[in-house]
Amino acid sequence: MTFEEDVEYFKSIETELAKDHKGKYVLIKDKKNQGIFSNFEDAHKEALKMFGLTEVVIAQIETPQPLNYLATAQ
Amino acid sequence: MGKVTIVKLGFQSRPDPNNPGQRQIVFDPNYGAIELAGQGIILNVAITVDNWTRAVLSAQNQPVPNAIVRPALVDTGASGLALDTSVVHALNLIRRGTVNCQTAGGSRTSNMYFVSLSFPGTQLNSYPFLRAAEVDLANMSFKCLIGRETMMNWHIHYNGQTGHVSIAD
Repeated sequence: MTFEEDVEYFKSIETELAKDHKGKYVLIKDKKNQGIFSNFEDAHKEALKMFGLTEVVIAQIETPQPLNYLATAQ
Repeated sequence: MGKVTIVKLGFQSRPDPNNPGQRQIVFDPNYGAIELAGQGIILNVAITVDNWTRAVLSAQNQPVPNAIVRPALVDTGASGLALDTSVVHALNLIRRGTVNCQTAGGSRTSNMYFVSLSFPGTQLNSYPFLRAAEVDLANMSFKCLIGRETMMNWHIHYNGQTGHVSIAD
């Protein structure tokens, strides 16, 4: 499974997850929900414990928090 | 409480009218204000992997990347920390998700990472765990954007008339 597939998997299950976990953080790896967490840091720690130094997707469920910027970044 | 004061000095290098081909250093009290208006608030930051990743690397006897120091723009338009791709590559950061970035050019998705951030040469508090978005700042003099997620802990005094900025936390 690739990182991009995990991102797509999260998008496909986000609405369903939001029914019970809106605002929480989900850890996705290999197109599986590996756990729900209260914050980014806990999800990151668990990801390191479970998968070591590999790419995972940690995402907040249905809470739009864009890391937007207005500087002249392209 | 930590504090840093940034003073844009009013010294400027100009062609010397009395010696063609030579330059002279002149003091212009307005230059500091002009400099600040043109560049914004820029300070050096040290960036490295977050503390949890550092612990895993150490436990596995893998090299922990040294912190790299880069100029950063204090950007009230940014909600969180953003790093140039060159910083991401230099630290071998591992992707931890994606974030949506709203830019002047439209919406885009960026990779997200976790890092630690400190401010060398100042007493400002460090941040051992921050999320950061990857952006392209290749053509900029700064390689990092410090957003409101960090600024929410700061008191910033910006004197545009004199070119002085102070940041306290």
